[in-house]
Amino acid sequence: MSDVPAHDSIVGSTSLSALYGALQSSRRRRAILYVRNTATDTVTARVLGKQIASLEHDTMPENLSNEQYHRVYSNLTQYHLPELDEAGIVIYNRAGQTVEPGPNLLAATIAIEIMLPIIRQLFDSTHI
Amino acid sequence: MLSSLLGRVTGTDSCESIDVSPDALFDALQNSRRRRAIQILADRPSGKIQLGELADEITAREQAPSSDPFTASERKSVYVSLYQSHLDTLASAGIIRWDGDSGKIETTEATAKIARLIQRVETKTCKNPNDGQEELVGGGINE
Repeated sequence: MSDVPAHDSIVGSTSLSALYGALQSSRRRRAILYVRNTATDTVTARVLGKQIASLEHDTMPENLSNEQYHRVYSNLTQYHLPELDEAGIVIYNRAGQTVEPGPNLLAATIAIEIMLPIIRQLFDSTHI
Repeated sequence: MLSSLLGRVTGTDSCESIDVSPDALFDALQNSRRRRAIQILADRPSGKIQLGELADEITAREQAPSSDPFTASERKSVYVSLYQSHLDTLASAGIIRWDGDSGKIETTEATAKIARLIQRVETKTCKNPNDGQEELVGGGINE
């Protein structure tokens, strides 16, 4: 792993503590999994907001009210995306309101996936 | 079973517990003393440890690169942080049980499982899991 090309390697090492800290919000966990699983490299904050709001309200993105969407969108752009950027998990472009994978996205995804079984078992929850 | 146990622990938040609880788990894991406490407790065959012993073990592990014995003030700082904050956080997340009066700490049904998962996260996400550097894997986008 130490031989990965520079553009794929760690910029600023995030500790395990910071990694777990970044995962302590459901909106951040969902944003991480969406950015990781999406086919395109860049996701707009708008799309992310719609996806997460529709999961929270258990409805299709097109059925969300403006208020339901905007509440999640503002919270993501003002708080959660800057936090994920700080942890090196995504690269958040405020000017363009876009989100790209960061150097620690893989580590964050692995940590969520490893913890999923215990979350399901402890909280009887299929929801991350 | 566990969910009902945790329901009691999280108590008043029960109508929102589905959101609150996984968050509490990750919150509990974001501190290295708390992660060490889980691992040390899970390694006890009896499933029990006293606060004082736990403070000794954690202090020794934190000082591990140095061969000097730890000082009383280093140990006291660990002891106080466990007593005042970390053990309550772990108990609220359902990861341990603890009694502040007797200083007795016990496993829950979740302790051993979470200890194994913590270990796996460390192995899978750190480039050099045992050197204390905690540098995370960065595999690029398509790995």
